[in-house]
Amino acid sequence: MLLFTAEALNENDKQRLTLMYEKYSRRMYTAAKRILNSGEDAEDAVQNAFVSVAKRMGSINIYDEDALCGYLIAVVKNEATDVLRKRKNTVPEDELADTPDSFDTVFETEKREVFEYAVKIMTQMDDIYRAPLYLNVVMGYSPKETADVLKRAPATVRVQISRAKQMLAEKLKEAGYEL
Amino acid sequence: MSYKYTLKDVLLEAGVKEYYSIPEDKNWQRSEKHTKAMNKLFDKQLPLYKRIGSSPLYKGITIAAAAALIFGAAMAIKPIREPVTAFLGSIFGKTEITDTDEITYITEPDETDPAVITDTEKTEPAVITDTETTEPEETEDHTETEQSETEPDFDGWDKLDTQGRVERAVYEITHYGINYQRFRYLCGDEHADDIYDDGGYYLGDESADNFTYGYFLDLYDTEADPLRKQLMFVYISSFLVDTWNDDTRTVPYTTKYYPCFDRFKADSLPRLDLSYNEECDKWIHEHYYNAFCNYARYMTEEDVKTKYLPSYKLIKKYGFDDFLTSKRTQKANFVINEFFNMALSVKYGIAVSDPSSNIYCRFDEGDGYARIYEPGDAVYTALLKYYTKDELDHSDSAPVVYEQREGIKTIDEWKEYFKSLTAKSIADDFVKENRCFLVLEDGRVLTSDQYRFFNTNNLQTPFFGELSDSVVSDDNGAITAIVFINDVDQERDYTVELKEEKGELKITGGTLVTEWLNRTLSSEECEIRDSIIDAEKLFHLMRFGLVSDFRYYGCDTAYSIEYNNNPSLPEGLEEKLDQTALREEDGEKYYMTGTVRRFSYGLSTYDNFIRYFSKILPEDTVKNYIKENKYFLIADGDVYLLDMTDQIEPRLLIDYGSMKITKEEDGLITASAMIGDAWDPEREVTFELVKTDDGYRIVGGTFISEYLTTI
Repeated sequence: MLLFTAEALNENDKQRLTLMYEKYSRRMYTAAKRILNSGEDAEDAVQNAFVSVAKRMGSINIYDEDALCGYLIAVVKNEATDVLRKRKNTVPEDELADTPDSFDTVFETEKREVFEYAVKIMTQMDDIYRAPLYLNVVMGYSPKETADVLKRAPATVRVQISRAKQMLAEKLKEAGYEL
Repeated sequence: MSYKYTLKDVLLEAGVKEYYSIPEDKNWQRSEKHTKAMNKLFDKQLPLYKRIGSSPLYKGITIAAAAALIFGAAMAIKPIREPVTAFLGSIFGKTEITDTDEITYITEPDETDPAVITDTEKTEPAVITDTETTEPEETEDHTETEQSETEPDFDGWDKLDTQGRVERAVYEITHYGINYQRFRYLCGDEHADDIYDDGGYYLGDESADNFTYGYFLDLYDTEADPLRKQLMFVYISSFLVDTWNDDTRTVPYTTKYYPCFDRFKADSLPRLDLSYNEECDKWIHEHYYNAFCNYARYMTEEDVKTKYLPSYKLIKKYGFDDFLTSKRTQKANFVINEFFNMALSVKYGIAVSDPSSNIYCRFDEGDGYARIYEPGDAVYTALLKYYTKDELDHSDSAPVVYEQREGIKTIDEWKEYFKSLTAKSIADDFVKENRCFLVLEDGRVLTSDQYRFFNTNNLQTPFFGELSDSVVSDDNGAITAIVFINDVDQERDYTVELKEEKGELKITGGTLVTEWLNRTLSSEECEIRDSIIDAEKLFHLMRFGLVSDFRYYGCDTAYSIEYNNNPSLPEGLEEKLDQTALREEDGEKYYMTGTVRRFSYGLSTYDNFIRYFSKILPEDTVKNYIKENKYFLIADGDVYLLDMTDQIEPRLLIDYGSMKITKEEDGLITASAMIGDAWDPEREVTFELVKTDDGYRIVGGTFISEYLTTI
């Protein structure tokens, strides 16, 4: 059931959304299907992801393909996980909200080697942390907007963003790289 | 100034890497439910004919009502009405309009009367009055006697001439939309909203043969009411025009022809131009015949004759004889296709499945590895029969593994199905465990596409020729077919013999079985080809700026900078771009339109790039070839590429199907192949190769001397 419909979009947004669907949906479907192991559920995840995207069309630059492809994969994987959670009838964990949010070291390096290692860490990072960080840092979403997209509590998202940064810093430190 | 990588860069790169590591699911057949939901989200405004309801009830109501409306509108115009009634009467003699039929027409409006459509339309759409032109004798002169059903006898082109103006009007109405409120009233359908909201999106995505060719004609054929039948004919005609226009954009039209009820105004009628548009009319007539031929190509002659006799008469009259082959032939083609695909999975590891079902994958990060999914003990153990642990975890040869599709997931299911397609003796002999076709202890069948046919998308992908002409004889006892296969190392025709056993067609022999099925690939030849393919990629990169060849290659994942939008290029790069990709006119700078990309890992530095290609080519050749190349930029020791893929010029391709490989006594290997544009490889190139620890290295030949020279 689509609660959000095209009525809220202007013609340009509809056109952009359609273009995005045509270009990215097959990979999104693959990503969702890997999590759900069901074509039908994967379609639902893709559908929900585009509903989520449609709500934020105003803040999305569809021509920034690098940012967009990561964003869409993050969103669809989150939707797929959500479907999986519903299938298992479990509720999202919210206990993280009690963890203090304090880590906010800035990552910046001129060394390609450090950058590449950081990318490697990030590709291996659990989506539960990477997705909110991506939405926050790349897409410029506030924790509240991020929470809305990912269907989590804002406080949880704040902690997850902080933890993601912390994990990156710790892994870099373990490898002998200092920021 | 050096470039500072930020957390955003890290996340972007990780996102891009992940995105390109996920294969596109090209086999995804979007479900009706999903398509409907997405269309709703996108709010696609489909043409009228695609918005009609999907259920039989809605379809019937919609078609009939739309046709009534359209026909009524057209019939309000006397110059149109006369020839149309004549035409309908002449073509469909059985449904001729007689003076006893209660046919009346929409009131042709008085120029002074703004009330164009009366309330009566809302309740009685098919009974509309015309004070001027209800002349029953109009049709009498055009009634023809019934034609023989056994001998095609169509004589209607002169009558078809009358169709141009009608179809024009109908086309315009359908093309520009129709007032749905009016439509709902006319239908008297309480579900009209549903037609729009829910039903309307189904049909647009149905395949053309079901929707266009099958449904409408079938509806027409089964309609008992003569008036409705005639109205449907007009509607079908309009649909054809719309379809043609979608395909070719060549239908001439003008809005001067009464286009749209939404814009209907009484005072617009006098301005309607009903003059005969010869160009449009001629076009429609030409394609009318072709359109029916297109229907017939999807049906057997027997079906066309039985179900659509008028159309059958028309196309036979003009010599059409390209009907779909019989069901038996269709079945034969299906069996051959299934047989071929299943054989591919054993021979080359191309799964009969959804490519998204890969469960173990590694992609090259230079010094590491990444698994999309942990393989699990069973898969890992099976793979270890053919790969070392080091290969699986750390090397380029780690495989992508695919599951088979539903129904043939286990070896028992697989064998059972394969035996249903071919003789038992052939099936028993064929299935063997190998590096491509893995059978786990629990019976699951996996395929390991070690050549990455689908991923690389290069010319090595085995290709099965068109099936439509494959069956060459059918004497009801045995079918013989000829199929064309563009195999990895050769291309040729193979024969296929099929016989019926217990009501099922099965492949029993032919060269497809005796010469292709158990033919194995020489890994040596594949390695030689791999080297040549790499050399060709380098050639394409330097000659045309074609970076896309590398994007399937595992060693890339380009880091991109939209050049025009990002002035903060790494130090030195802008200067390089100025030297190679810049032209100045009247003091203005113009850069080539492309994207600057950067290899991420194995090829990211100049030294790595040279090292990589020096494995397959002489180092001096590589260095000289990339020197001062406008697409190949080096800044601070790193390699950047000006990607011109989107602006690609016609490129030269090696025709791998024509490749011949010979071995000399001194260990030198010579390969030759044709090279040229994609459709016309016209020149021959040669490659001289030697075996090395890393595979095969090209050390001479005309490809190096004539193509890999400094540009």
